[in-house]
Amino acid sequence: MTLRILSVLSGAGFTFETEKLLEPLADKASFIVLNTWFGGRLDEHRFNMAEYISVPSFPTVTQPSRMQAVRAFWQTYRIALRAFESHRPDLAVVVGCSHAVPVFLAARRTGVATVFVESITRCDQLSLTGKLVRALRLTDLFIVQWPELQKHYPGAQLGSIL
Amino acid sequence: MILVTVGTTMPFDELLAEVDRLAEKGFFEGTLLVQSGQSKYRMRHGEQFVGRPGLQDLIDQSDMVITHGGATVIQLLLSGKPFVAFPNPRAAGDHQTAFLCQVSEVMDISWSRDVADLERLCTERRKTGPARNDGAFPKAASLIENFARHKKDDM
Repeated sequence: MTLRILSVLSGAGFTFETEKLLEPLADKASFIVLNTWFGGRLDEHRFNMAEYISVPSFPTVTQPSRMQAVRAFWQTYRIALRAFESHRPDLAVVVGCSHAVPVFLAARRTGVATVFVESITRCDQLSLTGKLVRALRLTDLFIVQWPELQKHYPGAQLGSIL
Repeated sequence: MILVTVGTTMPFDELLAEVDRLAEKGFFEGTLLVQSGQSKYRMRHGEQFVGRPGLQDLIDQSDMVITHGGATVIQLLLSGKPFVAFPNPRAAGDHQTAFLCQVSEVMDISWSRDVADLERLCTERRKTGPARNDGAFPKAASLIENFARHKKDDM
């Protein structure tokens, strides 16, 4: 089975977690990656890459900017929509980051299945992004990485990047 | 080499100031490299940079890492690198503290809420070496693969 997976590298811990998550799938899939400037790249020797597509970063917790957030959201949505239409991936897989919301909205519009993996740093409550994609029913598979968190959120699957 | 990393999304000035204070009294041996992200504090010692797309090469070269309580902690555990961790209290819902609490239940990591413990924890970790990774977790990738297989079968 060869899969086509679209994922997001948004930087720092999220990039590390995404790479660890996807490593066991490296031989079974090709990858389309939306990446920010800080997002970096997957190891080209291990991953079969179809394309990298740049997306903007979202404003941080300490530097909130509503305008910048709206712009980043809209740009990411449009870029993701084009990527889904041109590459027709089987899955969109996102670990933790804010990009999940516009990417999954675009996935819903194009009929692509979605998988959200909550960050391993979230062990007793979901991130705002996790709460949003769950409340808006934007995920077909919702994975948390700690048993304690799974207890609080019925329907969540337990699985780790480790 | 000592690597300090505080992530790219939040400042952690108090940790950088404590690292600088210890560097002033010669506590650290070798090069000091500081990834400071959104922090305002300007280091008087060591080399400081905002961030870069990946830290794995720097982690591999370092003898000890001082980190915030982000996913870098897992990266350090998998790299078998000695480290000490401090949760950044600015993180949403103080989730870095909860994360380090949870990790410390399954692995013998050195961490504290108080950056004043930096010297003690570094000394302790130098003696004990890298933390053990005893955690046994089901693989998220297997769940994704099974999910994708069922989706394809349904089509």
